[in-house]
Amino acid sequence: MELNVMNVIVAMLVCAMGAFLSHMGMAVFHDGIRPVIPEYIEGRMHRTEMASVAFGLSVGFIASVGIGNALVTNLLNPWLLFLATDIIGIASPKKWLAPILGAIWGLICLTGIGGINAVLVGMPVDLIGAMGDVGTYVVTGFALFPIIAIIMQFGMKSGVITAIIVFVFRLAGPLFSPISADAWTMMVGVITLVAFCVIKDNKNKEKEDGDSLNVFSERIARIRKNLPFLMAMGALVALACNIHVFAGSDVSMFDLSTAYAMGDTPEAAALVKTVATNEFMRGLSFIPLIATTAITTGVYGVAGFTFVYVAGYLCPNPIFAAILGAAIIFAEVMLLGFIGKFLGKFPSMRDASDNIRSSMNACVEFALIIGSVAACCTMGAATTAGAAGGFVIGACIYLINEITGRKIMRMAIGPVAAIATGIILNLTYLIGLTPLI
Amino acid sequence: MKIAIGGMQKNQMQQEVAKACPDVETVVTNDMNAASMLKKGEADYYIGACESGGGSAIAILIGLIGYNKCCTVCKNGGDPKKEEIERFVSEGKICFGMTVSQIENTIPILMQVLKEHENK
Repeated sequence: MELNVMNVIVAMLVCAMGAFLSHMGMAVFHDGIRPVIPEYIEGRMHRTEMASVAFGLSVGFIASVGIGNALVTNLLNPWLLFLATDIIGIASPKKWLAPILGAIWGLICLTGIGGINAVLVGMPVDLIGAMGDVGTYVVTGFALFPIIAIIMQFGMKSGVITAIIVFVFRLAGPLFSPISADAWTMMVGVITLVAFCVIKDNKNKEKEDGDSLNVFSERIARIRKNLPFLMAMGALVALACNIHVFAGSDVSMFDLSTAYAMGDTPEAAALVKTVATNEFMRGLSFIPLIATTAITTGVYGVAGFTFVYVAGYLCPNPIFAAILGAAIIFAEVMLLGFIGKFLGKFPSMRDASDNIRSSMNACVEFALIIGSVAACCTMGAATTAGAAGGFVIGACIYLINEITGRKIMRMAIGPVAAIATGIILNLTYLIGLTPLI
Repeated sequence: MKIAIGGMQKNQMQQEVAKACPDVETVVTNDMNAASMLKKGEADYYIGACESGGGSAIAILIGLIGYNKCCTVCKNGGDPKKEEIERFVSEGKICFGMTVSQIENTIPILMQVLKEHENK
């Protein structure tokens, strides 16, 4: 992340708009705050009470996933920016104060993360270089999620059979097509998962009461009324992705960081495309959650269904990204009612969505932990501590967290342990305990 | 006592409940369906997990059943506390959200409190 005028302005605008949307109850990022907002709007809850709920739900995420990942990738992320703007907006007593405080947060994040990153780069034991290892297996690991989801929903046997089919396609697919092995892995898995769902759906064709969602037409109308503001936010988020200061999720951020470091090469462009595909898949799995919470509350998501991220990564220039970002939010909001009805008719789709989110987490967590261990070993190997020495420090941090009730969530502990290992090795270097090899 | 299970890691949730209280009836479903089960009296309680414990786990339940019936029994980065859960249950909460990273620690305490409550 470069500290230039454009980047600073965009980061400040994104946060200002985020805080404003949250203050007005138009959109929040955290799915758990969304249903609390009507309690305030309809007068059953105080702003201060709501602010404490928001703070309690989010502060752990901001501290671990938000800051940790931003330091590793040198990219801003939604947990760091939007969970904070949720709180800032809700806590602001006045309408005009929310965007000002939001903009200040954006400035702090951009300069702070950039600044700390610059310090880390200057360390004798190369921390940032080794951090590249953290994301090595994220894309591949992520591609396995349909298999895990199938096991959760349809049992072990179906899952193992799927795994074998997927593996055959993974090896054979790239031989006769330009599509990458990871893309084959995920594509075959997703198709199999959908096939299982359709078969199950056709078997028990009980009609659920689909009209319960009509109750929510008032809520949908409220979201539509806020559309101009939501579209502006969509444009800003896509813009921030496009100018390489922002990454949308743990699925994309590590590889984007790698790709941006490679500069303008064909490999970088190919990697960004793979990342965009993964982000799109992740977005699909979040539709049921975001759509239903939005429809039941009248409060939208700050980044909508998160497809604006994909637009940001892929657009050739910032202007296109902004226009497409706004257009995507417009289309999403217009389709909300339809999506709600569809999900009401097919309750199994919601089951699949829960399982997909669980399995995506399981896969990414695993890949991040393996990658982080690799990073610890790389840093250890650069000194007389050796790879095993790096492993010892990283493993201790991981295990301590695991045994003491997982204060830092699994998704974040890998990168956090890797950063800590790097800092510890640099300290031991300074006192002469671990000279560089 | 019949418990509807939604949210993330449903299978693990069901296993933990069965381990803590083998005689309790559980239904693995989703939040939307669970809300209608609670309304029709087909289930007594709802439990669900998500990353934070207060997000997707109970978001729909808050919308459909009401905020005063829902609570988070274990937040991300926190520990489940028996006194707190007892207070929630005595206040009439019936939908319980928890963080996925603490399912195995939270379920036994929650089930114990619910059993004591049922036997009163």
